Amino acid sequence: MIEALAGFAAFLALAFLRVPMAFAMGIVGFVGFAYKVNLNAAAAMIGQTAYETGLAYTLSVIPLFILMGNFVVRARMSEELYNAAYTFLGHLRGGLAMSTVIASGGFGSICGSSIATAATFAKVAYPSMRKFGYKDSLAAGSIAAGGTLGILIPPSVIMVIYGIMTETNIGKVFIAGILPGIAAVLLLCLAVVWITWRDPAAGPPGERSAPGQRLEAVKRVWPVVALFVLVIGGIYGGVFTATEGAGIGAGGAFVFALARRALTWKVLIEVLIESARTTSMLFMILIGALIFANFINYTTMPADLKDFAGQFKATPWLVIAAICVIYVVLGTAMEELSMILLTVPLFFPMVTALGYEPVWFGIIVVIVVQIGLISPPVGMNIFVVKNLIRHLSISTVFRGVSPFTVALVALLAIIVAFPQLATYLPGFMK
Amino acid sequence: MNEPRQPLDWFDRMVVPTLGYVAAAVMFCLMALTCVDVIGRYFLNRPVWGGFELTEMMLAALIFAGLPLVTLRNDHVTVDLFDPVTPDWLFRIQHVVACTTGFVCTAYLSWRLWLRAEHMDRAGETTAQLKIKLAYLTYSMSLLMAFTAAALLVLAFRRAQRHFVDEADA
Repeated sequence: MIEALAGFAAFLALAFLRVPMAFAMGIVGFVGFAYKVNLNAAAAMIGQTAYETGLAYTLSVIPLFILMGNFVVRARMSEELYNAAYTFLGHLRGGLAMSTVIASGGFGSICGSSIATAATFAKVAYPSMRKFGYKDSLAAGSIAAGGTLGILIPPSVIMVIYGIMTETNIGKVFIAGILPGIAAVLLLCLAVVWITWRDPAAGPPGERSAPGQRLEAVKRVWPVVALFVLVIGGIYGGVFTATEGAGIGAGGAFVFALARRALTWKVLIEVLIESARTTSMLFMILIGALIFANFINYTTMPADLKDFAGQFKATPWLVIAAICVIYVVLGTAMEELSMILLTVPLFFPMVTALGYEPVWFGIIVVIVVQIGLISPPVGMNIFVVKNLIRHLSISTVFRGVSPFTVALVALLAIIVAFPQLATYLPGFMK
Repeated sequence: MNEPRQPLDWFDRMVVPTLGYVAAAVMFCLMALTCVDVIGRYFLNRPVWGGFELTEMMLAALIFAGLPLVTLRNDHVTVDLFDPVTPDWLFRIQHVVACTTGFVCTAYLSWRLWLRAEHMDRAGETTAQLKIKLAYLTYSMSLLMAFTAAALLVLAFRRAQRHFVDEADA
């Protein structure tokens, strides 16, 4: 136990000295492993981890979903989604902000990245919210919070990583995200209602659309629906594995982008290189985290934690509540991906030993990551929105997003209280 | 884009376009291969011969070719919580320490991969279906890791960039 804690402390020290996360984890893992076993074994271990992670077939799902998301962004399907939601809700108070949330949810059903979703709607939704005189805090808050739906509604890069780390069926984790995803959309819309009830000037109503316009707008969303049904339907129905679904999804998104004349050679190459870079960055952290985990598994920490959790057999929710609190606190300061890579290997055995479902815990992890993405001081989505809408101040975005953070915390509580929301749909899968 | 010239920018001009195109090509092939494989399997009952191992090799090529690119853009995930309040002199020290540490890690990993490649070369390890010599792939991984190490060394001589802060008044 002491060694593992020393390892975590050393990692944090290196990370706060601004050594990149991947190297910080790798170094501590290497040194720790050398200390617990021996230097030769540690040297062989890091070479093997880097090699085998690079050549792991199941991991090819990561670049493919990233690529799919990037194609979808370039294909500009977001505009139709936003427009469709707008024709139904635009005339309500706060309707444009609700449209942003709903369209982000729809976009999340074909894009697995929260950053890409937030960045997309900063470009698509912000101009019209500004046009109708929305306050910047509400506009920025709804975009940053809506963006996090990208990882809760399948496909989701975070779910893929969770599935790989815990050897949980990625397809099942995806499907488990659907109902919580819908609940999240509703809760975020409720947050909008609350904000505009407190301050009607924050989100004045837009124009009412005629039924004909609504029908027309909904019809235009078909590519999104088609892609979602193809990929997630295919995975749910057991036609594809997650990897195959990702490949088909990337291929499908490529075809749509091509058909909509959104791709020139230059753009295509940009998209490919951008996806490759994101992949490399993720894998660097993944390799670092695996090296670190190899060390931690040689310490007594995983077993100690499991024993500790065993004392709470009668009140397992206490453990879950503690884990959620730890995550929400860690998530404010830590980069979310590193946070789950470091902690899930420790928490997962505890949680499953208490009889909880792996897919359910996956959803919990995703929701705490969402909360982390929009909570100060280092919420990634907030920086994304701030960077794309230059005149906003960070404090405006933080202020705007806080009611939505409350909504996501409520979502977390709901999923903890009613695990069926996550486990119901995957129950039908083989 | 009138950015001041960076020290050692010939390194970027040499590495970035080449590896960029390699990574782009591999990324595209990975997507195409998966699609063809799935369609072949379900509709024609004929998966791609060696598709599994090609996917694995392409994934490795993709990741390792992308690494020098990520590094040169200073895109590695870092804790930048204190960037806004770190004084300049400390920030420069942090930058040099981070780059040097990264250099040591990647250079060492590159060497370990090279040893692994030599071992595979001697053993004559090949893939199961296509009989491709795995040593070539591992040598390439080692070389690309060496490029990453070189990129980190190059970065150490450049001015550190703070995340998100200098963009505020752009």
